[in-house]
This record gives sequence, C-alpha cells and structure tokens, in this order.
Amino acid sequence: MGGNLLELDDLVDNPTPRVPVSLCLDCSGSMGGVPINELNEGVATFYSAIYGDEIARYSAEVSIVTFGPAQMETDFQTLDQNNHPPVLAAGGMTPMGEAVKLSLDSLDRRKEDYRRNGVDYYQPWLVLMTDGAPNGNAAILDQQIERVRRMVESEKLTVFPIGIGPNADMDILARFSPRRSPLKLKGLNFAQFFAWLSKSVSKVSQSTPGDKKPSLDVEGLKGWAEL
Amino acid sequence: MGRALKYKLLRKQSTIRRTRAWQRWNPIAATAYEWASAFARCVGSDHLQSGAPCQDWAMSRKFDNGDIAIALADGAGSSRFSHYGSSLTANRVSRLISEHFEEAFGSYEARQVFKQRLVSQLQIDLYELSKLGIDLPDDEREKHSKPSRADLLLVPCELSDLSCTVLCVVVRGGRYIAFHVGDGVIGAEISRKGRARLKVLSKPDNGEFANETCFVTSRKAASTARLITGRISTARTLVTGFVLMSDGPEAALYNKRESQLVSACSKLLSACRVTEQSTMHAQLEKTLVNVIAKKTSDDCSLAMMALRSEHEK
Repeated sequence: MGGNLLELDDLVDNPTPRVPVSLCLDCSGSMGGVPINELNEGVATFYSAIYGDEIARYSAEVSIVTFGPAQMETDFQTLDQNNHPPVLAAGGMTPMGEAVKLSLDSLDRRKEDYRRNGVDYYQPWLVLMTDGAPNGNAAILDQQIERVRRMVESEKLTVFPIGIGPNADMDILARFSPRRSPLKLKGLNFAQFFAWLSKSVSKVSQSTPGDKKPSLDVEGLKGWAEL
Repeated sequence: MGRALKYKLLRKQSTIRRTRAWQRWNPIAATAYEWASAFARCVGSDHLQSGAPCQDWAMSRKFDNGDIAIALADGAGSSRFSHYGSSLTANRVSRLISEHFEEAFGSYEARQVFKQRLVSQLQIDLYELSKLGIDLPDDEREKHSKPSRADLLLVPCELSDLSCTVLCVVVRGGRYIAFHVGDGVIGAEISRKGRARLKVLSKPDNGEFANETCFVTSRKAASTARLITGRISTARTLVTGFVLMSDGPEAALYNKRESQLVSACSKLLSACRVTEQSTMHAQLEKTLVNVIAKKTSDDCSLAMMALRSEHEK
C-alpha cells in the first residue's frame, strides 16, 4: 500500500501556544523573615513543577512583579528559557495598585508580541498575593481594580487574589475579583498553593477548542486555602 | 490593405497566439474537469489516553448531478456526543450546498442570506438529531449512565452535546463554493503559467485565545461563517486542488506566523492526483497517524480534491 506521503521535515514548526501567568507578589517589610523564605520556596516549587511538565515547560510564560516598591523581577518567559526563579527579598511599602499596573502593562505588551509573531495564547492569569493593606497611590489602585474587573468580566483575564496571614485586606482583594471570592492561604502554605497552581496551568496548556474551561480543582484547594 | 483591416487582422492573430499560449499553460482547460478526492482521519493521543472516540469526521462524494464535494467537521472537545454531530454536519453541509448551489452566486445580500440559511438548516438538523436521539453503543451508554438499548433505543441529548466546526468545498463544473465555520483551514492550489502555488481561502477562526472557536451550534455561527465562491479557471489561473484540514493537522501544515500553507499540501495533492482512490485513502491515513499526528495531541482529519489532467485520468 506504500509508505507515508510526507516526512516530518515537510511539516512546519509552529510555536507552542502560550499561557501567560503573572505573579504579583507582596514583598513588603511585613513579609520579612519566615514568610519571604516560604514564598521563595513556593515560587521555586512552581518553577520546578512547570519545568517538569513536558507541555507546560514550553507553554507557560511566567512574569514576577513584586511590591514594594513595584518592580519587575522577571518579565514573561518560558521556563525552558530560564528555569531559575529570582530570590525575592522583603522590604518597603505596599504599592499594590502600581504593581498590578506593571503586571497588566507587561501582559498587554506580551500579547502584542504574540500577535505580531503569530503565536497563539490562552487566557492570561494574574495571581495577586498580599499580607496587608495597600498604601500606594489610591487613584492608581482604583484604576487598576476597575481594569482587572473589566478584563475578568469580558473573559480576558483569570485572577486569583490570595490573602496571606491575619492582616491581609480581603476586602480590597475581593474588589479585584468580581466572579470569585479571594482565598486565604492556610498559614504559610505557599508550596502547596504553587503546586496546585502549576497543575492548573498544565491543564490549561493542554486544552483545545471546545474543551470546558478548566475549572478550579476544589479538592486541591483544600490543601492550601482556608475555605 | 486599409489601416482598419490591417489592425483587425493583427488583433485576430494576437488573440489566436494568446489562446494557444493559454492552452499550453492549461492543457486541460478545454476538457471537462475531472477531480480525484481523498480523505482520512485519526484519533489524537489525548483521546487515545482517555478512551474518547475521534471527534473529527471527513468525507468526499460525487452527487448524481455531477457536483463534487469534500467536507470535514471537528467535534467540540467538551461535547459528549460531538462525534455524531460532526458526522451529521459533514454529510449534510455538502448536500445542502449542492442543492442550493446557484444561490451563493449573487449580490452581497443574497450571499448573506445563503450563509444564514445554511447555518440555520445545519442547526435545525442537529437539533432534530438531539431530540430524536442517538442509538448509542453499549460502552457509551454505560459511560454516560444512559439506559440500555432494550429500555431506550434512541437517547436524546442537548444541542450543545453535538457542537462541531465545519469546512466544505463543492465544485460544479467551472465554479466552486467554500464554506467554513470555526477553526481549521481551507486552502487551494492555484496554477499560473504552469507554476502552482498554495493559497489560504479561509483561515482558522480562533477568537483571541487558542482554546476558543465558533461552532455550528453557536449563536454567532452565521455571522462568523465564511463563504468563498470562485471560478476554477480564469484567463490566467487554474485551481488545481482544494484541501481541508481540522485544527489537528493545522499545527503541522499551516504556518501561523505567515498565515500560509506549507508545500507539503501540494505534495499531498500531487499524490491524490495520480494515486488510485482506495490506495490514496490508506496512504493518507497512514501519513496522518505516523507523521502529522506527531505534531499534535488533537484528533486529525484531512480532505482534498485534486484536478486531473488528460494523461492522469
């Protein structure tokens, strides 16, 4: 009946569709000591789990923005390009609005890069973690809250607002998320949270048109969240 | 000789020269078109792992009135019975287009009406199937906790359970209609001055995100559907092939950055042109499984038709 009509060399190498994940992390003074160490371990767990997944390694693009001050620790890149997480240090105030602005602006630039280069991408994720109340510019905070809400409501963004410790301002976090209540981390269970996050990202990176939107793994949530 | 007569003679000579040259470039232009067709599909590695059936369907057919059609439909991943939806849709769309062929060649408004009516009829057909029910095999009844055949022969479902995309080309004589809802690609091979090049007639419709597309059952299906009509041959060009692919092979045969089909599609059309049909089906399926499926975990389906010249018949 004859062999194959084509060889692998005849085929095109399209870029892997990307899942952009922006981690917007509170590294203010109050996170000093044990919390920042646990956060660093958690981020390392996330990187390790994503790198270990054959598809997510080339698909998930991670950026890390910390506050205060609001700064870009790592811009979007896949973990096959760089699988070494930055080491985060605690100090400074809590300019949450400025940090979210930095995250969303970099996300917009990244999506533009994708479009220009014909790279498909999935709905981006924003993970916002804080252990306190924001004390940056109030107007910027309000603008960014409104921006995130608009994006979530038009299904352009998935947001995970997470409170750390007893002093986290859950009301502010709730304002960022019109569809999902913010969750509180159980103790300093960053490692379990980031392990859960990496599995969720892997699921998205393997989805195809018509698949149900990957839903939250509620059982898995119980491992790290106070429900 | 008067100037007018000399001019008339020169014009006639140049017309004769152009006609002969055109026939040299298009040796089959003066003959009736004969098309070879082929199609194949295979289940993707994701569904192999989960035990789900292949949700793609592909077919080709020749109607009694001489129309030739190829069609392809890709069932939605999350829809339980989309493999039945894709099978029904692929078969129905080609028949509907053939039955209403002339209606697609008219004013802009007439074409919009044609598109709307085509989508509506496909939605009605799927709706009727969902209400009438499907004679599910035992393993699917068990998987979806449905009654046995003895208790309920035909199992009704929701319209959304049958969601699928659709791609189709129908050729009648010297004209064609291409119709497309959702992702996947419709391409054509066009010959000009003896050289063939590939052209994308209809690109994938993925919305902003990679895991989004429009299905025949969607509310936006009619407004997002693409309808392309054309002539097989013009003064300068000749369409020598059409190819349909679902989003599985799209990953391997469509350059997303350039929005172009790769030359491998011409290789497939060349093979289709000269290979006996059942052999071509088998080889195409083998190629899907052994080569193209390496680039994707999704189900794959391809359908094509290639114009045969006199010496290839």
